Amino acid sequence: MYMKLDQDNAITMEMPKDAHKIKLVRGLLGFSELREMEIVYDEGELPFMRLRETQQGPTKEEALEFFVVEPAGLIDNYSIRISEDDVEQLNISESDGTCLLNIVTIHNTGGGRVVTVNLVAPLLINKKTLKGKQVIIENFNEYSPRHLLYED
Amino acid sequence: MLVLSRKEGESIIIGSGEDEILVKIAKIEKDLVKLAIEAPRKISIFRKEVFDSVMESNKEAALRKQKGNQRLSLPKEALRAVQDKKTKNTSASFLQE
Repeated sequence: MYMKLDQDNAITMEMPKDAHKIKLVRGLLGFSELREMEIVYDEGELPFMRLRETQQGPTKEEALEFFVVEPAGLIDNYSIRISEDDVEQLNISESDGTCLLNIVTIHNTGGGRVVTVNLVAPLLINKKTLKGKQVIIENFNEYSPRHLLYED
Repeated sequence: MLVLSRKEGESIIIGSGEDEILVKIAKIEKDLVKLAIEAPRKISIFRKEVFDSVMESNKEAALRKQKGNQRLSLPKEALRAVQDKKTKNTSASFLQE
């Protein structure tokens, strides 16, 4: 469900058409208009991937992008509780049909750069229907929306 | 903003019919008020400070593609540090799908 991005930013289609496109039921929090997005990656950038606004028409330069990462193998003991309503809304029944992505922020501070990841509100995606949602986890008290990944 | 007074056990109703939301003052103890909310499934309920922190984090994370089709990139050292930490088999697992 991810699409490879080559160095020139052109797209290499290796997947079934549109398989990398996801529909976000409510957009992202603060960006409710972002209902259709695509997940693309560049091999050199893995495990980071890019979640970007599906580009429509000539406004290509304006497209919004977010770096995202799968938490598995990166965040130790990341154990989250999802509300029943969210599970039901996305029709998720088993964990292997689900993809979890966390949004990454690059902060440009005065001295250097800081990279954090939002562990409170991951994107939960049903791989079969490609329907996703940014959910606020029920155990939000246990994690930070700015979990430190890297600091200069 | 509408301000109204309620005692413990009393409620208010917002909206009507299938969009009806009921907010009940379930318990008042010192400086803590417990609310019980009944709302349709499609209505999300958030603690405002959590909602705000996520919204702010999303805004900070958003990258707008610059003119000239320039790629925005991750700091190289950060990328290397994370690649070292993330075990290879997990980062590559989805590529086989």
